[in-house]
Amino acid sequence: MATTELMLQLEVEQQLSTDVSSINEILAEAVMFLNDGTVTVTEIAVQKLGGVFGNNIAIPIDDSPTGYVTLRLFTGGENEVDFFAPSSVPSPPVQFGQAVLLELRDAGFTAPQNVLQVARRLGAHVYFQET
Amino acid sequence: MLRETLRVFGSQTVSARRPIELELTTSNGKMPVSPVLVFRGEQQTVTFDGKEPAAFTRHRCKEIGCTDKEAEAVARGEIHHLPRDAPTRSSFASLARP
Repeated sequence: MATTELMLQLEVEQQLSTDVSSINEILAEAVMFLNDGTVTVTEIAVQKLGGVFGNNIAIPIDDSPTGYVTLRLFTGGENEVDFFAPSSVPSPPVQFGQAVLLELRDAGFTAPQNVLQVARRLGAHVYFQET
Repeated sequence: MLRETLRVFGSQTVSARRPIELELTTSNGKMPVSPVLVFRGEQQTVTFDGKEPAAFTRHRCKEIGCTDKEAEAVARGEIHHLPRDAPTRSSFASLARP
């Protein structure tokens, strides 16, 4: 049976022009439908640039150096298999792949005053095969 | 003004979703805001809560107190505070552009 090499990439960039007291969590998702084949994840990774800063504070207050990424593989009904970054080792094969959902997250913050600034970019990619 | 860019790459049928808040929280309380679509790829389809972006933006802007003229301008993507390629304020952290 033919093997199809697939890729899914997602990037979020966020910049704020004023100081605020609350910065919401980042959640972004990308979805791709499959053909009920056997899926092997060959690589999954996440990277981050920038972060959250405090006004007149020298040290960045962002405590999430990489963000968090999950690949959810749905295999029918309520069944799913999750894969977490980083990994460049092929996963065990998973049968009956119907769809994949790449979830990208980064933390939100709250302060008692308008002192939070944000300039951050998160990117994630996954390479996988469907047979 | 909060500016966000969402990029997605994959097969031709790939789709992406980015939940956003319609309020910014400051020490003065919650400030209602509206999303504005400034740019999209030529082959991309973008919706706000399932609606065409200009229609959503026009309705939301009127809901939060913009004038009809302002709402129409913003619905056309005419924003002046953070154009797509503008740098952030110099006193702010900024991200290098690829």
